[in-house]
Amino acid sequence: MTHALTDLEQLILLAVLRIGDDAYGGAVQDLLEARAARTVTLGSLYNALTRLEERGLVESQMGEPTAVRGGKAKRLYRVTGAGREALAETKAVFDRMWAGLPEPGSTA
Amino acid sequence: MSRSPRLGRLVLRRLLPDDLTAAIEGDLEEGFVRRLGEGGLRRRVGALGWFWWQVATMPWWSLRRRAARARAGRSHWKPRREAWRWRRLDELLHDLRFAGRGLRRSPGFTVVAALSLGFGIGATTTLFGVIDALDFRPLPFADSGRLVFLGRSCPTCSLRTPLSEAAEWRAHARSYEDVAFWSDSEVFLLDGDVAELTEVGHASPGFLELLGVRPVLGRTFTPEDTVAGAEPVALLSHETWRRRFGGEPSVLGARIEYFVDAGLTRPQAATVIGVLPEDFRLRRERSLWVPLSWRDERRVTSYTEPVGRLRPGVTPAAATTELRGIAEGLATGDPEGSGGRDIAVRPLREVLGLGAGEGRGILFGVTALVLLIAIVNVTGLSISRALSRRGELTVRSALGASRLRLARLLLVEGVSLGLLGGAVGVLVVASSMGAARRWFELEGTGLSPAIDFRLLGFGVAVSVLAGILTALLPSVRTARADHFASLRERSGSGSSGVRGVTSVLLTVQVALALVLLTGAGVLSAEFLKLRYLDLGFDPRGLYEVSLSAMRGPPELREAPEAWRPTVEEVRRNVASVSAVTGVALEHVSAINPAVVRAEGMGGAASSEGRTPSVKAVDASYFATLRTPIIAGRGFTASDRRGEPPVAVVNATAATRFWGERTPSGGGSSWATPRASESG
Repeated sequence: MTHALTDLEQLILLAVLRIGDDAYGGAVQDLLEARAARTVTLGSLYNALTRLEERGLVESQMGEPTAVRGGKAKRLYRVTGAGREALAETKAVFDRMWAGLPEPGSTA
Repeated sequence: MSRSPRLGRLVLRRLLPDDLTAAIEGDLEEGFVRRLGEGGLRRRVGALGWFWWQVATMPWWSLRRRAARARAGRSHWKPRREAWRWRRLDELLHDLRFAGRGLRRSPGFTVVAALSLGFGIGATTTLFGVIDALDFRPLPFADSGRLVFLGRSCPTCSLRTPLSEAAEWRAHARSYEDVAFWSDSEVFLLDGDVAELTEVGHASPGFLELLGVRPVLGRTFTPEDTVAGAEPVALLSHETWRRRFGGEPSVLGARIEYFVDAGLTRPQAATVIGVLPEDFRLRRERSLWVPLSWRDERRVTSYTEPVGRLRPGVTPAAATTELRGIAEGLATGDPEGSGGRDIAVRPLREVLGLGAGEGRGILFGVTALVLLIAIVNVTGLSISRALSRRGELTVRSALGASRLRLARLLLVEGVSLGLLGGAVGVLVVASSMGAARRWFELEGTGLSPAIDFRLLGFGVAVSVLAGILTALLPSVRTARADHFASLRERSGSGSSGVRGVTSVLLTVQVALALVLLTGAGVLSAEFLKLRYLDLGFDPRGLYEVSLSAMRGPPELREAPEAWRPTVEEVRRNVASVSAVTGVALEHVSAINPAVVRAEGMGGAASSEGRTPSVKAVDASYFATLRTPIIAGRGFTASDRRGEPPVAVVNATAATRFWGERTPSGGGSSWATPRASESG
């Protein structure tokens, strides 16, 4: 299985990691907007999440229904070992590409 | 209400796969409630906008597909009817996306094809709009198919009937549920200090009921309104009501004053008893309607266009036969009358549309041919495109796509292209409809095409059909093609067979386009012949200013000479307008000579019972109208009172009066230096 990730997939995986136990669609959407300045529709978010799940990079289970959600349960996501691996691999690729280059923004 | 829109949730529940429905619905609800916060219009709009944007951008088909794949991985996939239906829809969406990608990949082809289809579709749809308005679209009257005009007719006109005669028709005819009368006249309505010339409709009691027109306010005319000495009453048009009375319901009982002469010396007033609906117009909208009395003695001098509602099952032809019989019965002992020969009962629509839309059928044919040419051209392009994509199609076929599926892909692409053309066509229709209205002279008929769902439906149907036609040949070829043979061909020896097909297609396409072009040319020539009859003058850019002595003060009516300064002033003012290149005067006299006789030709060459038309014109008349003088000379400034009288006759009169001794020529004028009037 190839582990190449699109940048949206990377951002989603990182968001799920950051949020921890309560990582569901709405929370990921909010974090992406707040921290990564990425406005993502729920549609493309779930599209990416199901794709990641298909590839075994995340797994999910249903949470408890709550009133504020109109009595609907959350689907809670968790990054799998393969998911962490894929993230690490992608980061390593970028690190290798950056190695030896001056920091962007510096004058050298 | 603090919950998200039910409709959106229901739609999602229907579309999303089961295992995601609750999660996504919950996220939506939560996001919506948080955005709504304390409420207020701005937050509410923001929350609703966010909600619907999330719903609209939901890629439910791909979520479904993925869920189905996940299920298939976990358990054995059971083909259910519903699943099958979703799969079909899924495939269609896939085809649509494929078509979109394909069209985006070759933007040149797409733009050229959409533009050429678009112009054809647009022009055809515009012409359909004209034909529909004149021939098919129901009139805004109740059961308008049974409404007819009664009267004398010529092919392009409708003549009014003396009210006395029309009343006799009404009394004797049995073909109608009812016959009512209407007519019109001009009056001056005062709008502040400005006297505005406007048209007034006259309707007999029962006329509006016959048409099925109900006033939006008040009542219609009753027989009591027409008896001598009754209080004068009037109905307002919707427009007049809005413009002059601010659309106030209190208008009922108000008085409206108008003048029947330009000198504003003869005021008349009426009490407003009602307001007519906005869409009511007979040829034109009239500001005011007043009762038409047809029982009193004045009726002898008025003329009317009687309107009847045929009894169910009675045809206009049968009604015509009956009416001619009645008219002949009335005409016995009246040798001057023309009897009933030219009387006809004609459908309302036909009479309203008289003189308008000439050549619409021919022009529709031309535009349909142009569209066909566009379709043939795009077909040619699509075929060569399909040939150049043979590699791609072969790979798809090798990957398991059935031939039918490939053919369908191309068909969907064609329909997408047709709809793209339809979008261009909408722009064409929007920009050409005004010109079509003027060209076909629809303004005065009250039958004007509207850009509505009916027209849009036609446009979409034509677009889809055009799209299917352009894709039919390429997709049939694809379905028939042996893709593995073509793969062998690609890898191995020459592909002369394919090249042969292309060149044959190209030949056929050119030949077809030529035939169509010739057909369109012939039809156009036919049409232009209809359109540009040689009138003997050039009507382009001619405008008329008319002055009527009848409307002026009484002293002018007595002494026409007193008009000269006024006429001269008007002439100077018109000539001073910078866009005006020439002004000419024409005097239309109420007194026309009954017989014109040529001097020295005896009595043989009189005008044979026809009424000759004689006009007094000034020296610049022929130059201004661009009427050529075939022989002799036109008028000059020296042809004035006191000089020997002169006349110019047209070629028809010249041939009739002087026969072969005159130079004959096409339909224009011929001058004879010495002619005098007699009779």
